[in-house]
Amino acid sequence: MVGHYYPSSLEETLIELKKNRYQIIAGGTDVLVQYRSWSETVPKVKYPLMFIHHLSELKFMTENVDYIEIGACVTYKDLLSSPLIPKVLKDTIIEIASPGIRHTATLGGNIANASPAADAVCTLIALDAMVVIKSIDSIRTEKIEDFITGVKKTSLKPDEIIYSVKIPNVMSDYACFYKVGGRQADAISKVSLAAVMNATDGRITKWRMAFGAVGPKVMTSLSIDGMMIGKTIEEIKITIPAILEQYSPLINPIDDQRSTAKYRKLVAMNLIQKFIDAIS
Amino acid sequence: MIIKFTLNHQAVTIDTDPSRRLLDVLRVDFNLVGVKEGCGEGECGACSVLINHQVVNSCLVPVGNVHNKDVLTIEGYKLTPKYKIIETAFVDAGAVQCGFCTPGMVMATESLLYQNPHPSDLEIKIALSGNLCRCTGYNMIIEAVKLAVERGEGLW
Repeated sequence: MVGHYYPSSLEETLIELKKNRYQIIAGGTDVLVQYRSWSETVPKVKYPLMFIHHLSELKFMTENVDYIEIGACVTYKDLLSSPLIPKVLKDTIIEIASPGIRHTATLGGNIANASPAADAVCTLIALDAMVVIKSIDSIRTEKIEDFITGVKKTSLKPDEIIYSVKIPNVMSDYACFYKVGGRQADAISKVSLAAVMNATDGRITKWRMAFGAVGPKVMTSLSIDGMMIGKTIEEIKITIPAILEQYSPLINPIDDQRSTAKYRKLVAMNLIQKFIDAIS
Repeated sequence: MIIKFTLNHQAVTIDTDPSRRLLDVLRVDFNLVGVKEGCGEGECGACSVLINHQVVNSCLVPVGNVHNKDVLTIEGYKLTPKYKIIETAFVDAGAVQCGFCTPGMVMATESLLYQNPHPSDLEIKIALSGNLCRCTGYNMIIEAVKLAVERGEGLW
């Protein structure tokens, strides 16, 4: 088996990924938990580690008229201190983990980890974010909800790396993130909802919802969201039971150590209502 | 892998497996046992140390990630005037009982005050939100931080 690898550039990383199979590690806050073993022993990883946290090519934040682009290794802490980052994403990040983890955990890592309860992923989906994926001889862009394919599964191939996240540079009239967890810090969500709405003259022009911890991945549906487009905010507010009915098939949670399916379903429905109550 | 970093104000070089937890390297290789292991998964903050002046959970940092970085543990911080202010404030406020969480609490406090010398109560709570204490009930710890802010005016 080849050893762990500490590359000096992104190019070197991609060349090496083409040659050998690695487990990519950025901040390490997920990888070291997932593969943890006894104290004073090394994590039991399946593949040698490819260290990328130090690569400056993955630490950029830029903005143009079309989108905000965030390098995969930008930490939550850096996102919180950047003027480029949309408020709703900051509101989400402040609910993730604790300062010690936010100082080192990365946005790319949260996406690659593909947890069905990933808070930042909910908000990125609601903001229509795209993931940019690179290998030494290819570059592709995928919608984040398509990039994540199931519990802890993504479309990332062994020779690829998440390069960046692109968020469309558009203002939202309402953009909210609601999280329900067992503790205010360091809690994995029992249920979460990211919701974004735009309206012109009281008529909905954009409506996006993404639910965490209610299915095998963060759940979203462009077709259900699309049913809200063109309605007036008034119509939305007086047809809440019908809207909840429309979203219901999307919300299929399970019982686990954090919560029950019944509780999660009820709370997810209540969160939709909470968002509708908030808009005007 | 050869890993070079600054540890408690001194340049150090080690040759070790970069996947080892920083926590283990500090405790085993350097005998810095003020860095505690509580949960081992980032929930308790007992293993808090500073990397480049920001608090992190050393149980979740592969030591490869500290190459060319600056690491400060309670043992290195203890030699500074700021530490003395925090130590006295913790003692005076009754913020220490069993002491297991205390090094982590102190490092999280330094990380906060370095970034924000005049935090609000909410900012203090957020800064300490990754550190669990099973003895004091937190109020005394929050009081201790406020006392340190007051007494350390101008130091941070």
